[in-house]
Amino acid sequence: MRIAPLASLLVLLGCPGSTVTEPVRQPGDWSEEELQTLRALRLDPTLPADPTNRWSDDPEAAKLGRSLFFDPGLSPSGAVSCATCHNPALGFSDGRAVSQGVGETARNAPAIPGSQYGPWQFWDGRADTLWAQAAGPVESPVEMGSDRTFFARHVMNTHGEAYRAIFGGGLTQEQLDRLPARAAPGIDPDLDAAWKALSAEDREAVMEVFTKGLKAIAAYERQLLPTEAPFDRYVDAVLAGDPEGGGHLKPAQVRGLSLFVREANCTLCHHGPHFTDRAFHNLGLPGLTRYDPGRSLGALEVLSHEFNCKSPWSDTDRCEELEYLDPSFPDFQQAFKTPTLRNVALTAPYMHHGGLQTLHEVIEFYDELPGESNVNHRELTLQPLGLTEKDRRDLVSFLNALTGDPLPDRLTSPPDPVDASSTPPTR
Amino acid sequence: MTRAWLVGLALLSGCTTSSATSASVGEFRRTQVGRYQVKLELEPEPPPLGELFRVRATVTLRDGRPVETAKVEVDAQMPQHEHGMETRPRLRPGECDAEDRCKFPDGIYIFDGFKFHMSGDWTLLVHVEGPRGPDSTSLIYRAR
Repeated sequence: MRIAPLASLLVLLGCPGSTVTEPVRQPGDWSEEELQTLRALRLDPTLPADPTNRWSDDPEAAKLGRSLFFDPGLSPSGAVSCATCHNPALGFSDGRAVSQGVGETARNAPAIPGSQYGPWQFWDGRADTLWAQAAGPVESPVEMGSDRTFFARHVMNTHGEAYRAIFGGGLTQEQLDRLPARAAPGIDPDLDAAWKALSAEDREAVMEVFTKGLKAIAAYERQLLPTEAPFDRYVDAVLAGDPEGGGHLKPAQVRGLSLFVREANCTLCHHGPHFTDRAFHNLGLPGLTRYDPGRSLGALEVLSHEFNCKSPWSDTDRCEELEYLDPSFPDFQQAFKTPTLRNVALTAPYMHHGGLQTLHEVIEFYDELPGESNVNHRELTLQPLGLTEKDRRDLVSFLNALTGDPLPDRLTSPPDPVDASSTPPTR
Repeated sequence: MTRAWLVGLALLSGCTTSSATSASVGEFRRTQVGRYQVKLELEPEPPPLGELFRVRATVTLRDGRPVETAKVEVDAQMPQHEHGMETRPRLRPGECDAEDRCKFPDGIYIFDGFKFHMSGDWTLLVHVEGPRGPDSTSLIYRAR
């Protein structure tokens, strides 16, 4: 909701936000309020339940999901898996400006660790669960280029034993024999016609395997939790009374942290244990070559998403985030989700379009705010920062202290070798 | 939902709302013209940033008697950022009769679906259309 006349009026009247004058403090000399901020930024491993997916914390489902995540056989090309764009070695991103599946996508691949915590998935929040998110790349003609029938057939043919042990049922051999190689609604006319030609019973069976396979992938992704970083150890030590923070941050990183929470005020949007407000902002980024509606379209899409929390495939009917979402919020125009900053040093390039190559470029952008938004307006809280070159380097140095400990190997590789040639292209 | 009353409220109140702080949450305050007293409570308090919470508005006459049949609206905005919330809160239904005349026992009106998606000063605005006529109030709540 937005009420410009009232807002303008209050600003004109000079109603200040805060006029409290704080004493000048040195980096590392934290006020009580700043200590609260640091405490709020410290990693919290508590993972909220996902009632939309009753297998979300099932270890066997997660194990199957891990197999599926790394399996390029889910793509008819035999060459693209989830891990293609979410590479564990790159913080589960891909190092490219925009991702390359069977074609080129329009946006940068977001990292997975941390995504378990927010209510919205994708840069524009057009999915509201991890498993609904996973459906997107599978059926995207430029990502995995697959479809639900191909996916379901492959799950049963290659992972059938694990699938049946977890979920029971699945496609019968008779169904596998009579199903077409590929069929799905809405991707292209041929697939659509093949889907419409299926019996209601076969469509239902495919949907069952497809959605449960997606939920298995989500169960795996839920295990990819952010891990403790030098920043967290520093905070623990400071809160325990050690003003040196146990030496877990270098002096430049402490200066960067000080800038982060004070002069640069990054915590306005990058707050909480994952350094994100989970909200959507229009940054007025340079280098946008085409209009991208961002959240203004994503908010509409999630409300009608085939696999959203309210869909028949969800395991709950309590969907408060969808219930109260206001898709007409004016500042959703060309707004994109605030990403987590945990592991940010691993996930270059940056922003939804991947247009900023390094963290230094990101800081430079926020410092100078070149140009203006070509749609609506840039987030009003952003103001040029007036940083020195040393300030910029210190902020980058601090961001490097958010790189967590490596995840265990059992989470960053497939459980056993997947033979992509076992499922050759069939269309 | 009409917003005209908000502008009127701003004109009447000027910057006086800025002097209020989160300490005003949970306390009765008199509305602008003095027709009612309103208490706002946030549940949970403080509401976690980026998470849904509810607002409980208790409306009484000046003598403390509950106002159970008013039309009450509550909104939250960040005037300095020129935006409101990304959500549309809804009033929980009261006890309504066959002719849709609704009563809110003890003058308690509960709104679900509030969300502070940014830290900073939010203005909570309340408008009451009740037995003594329309009146409004507001307070600043610092979300962090």
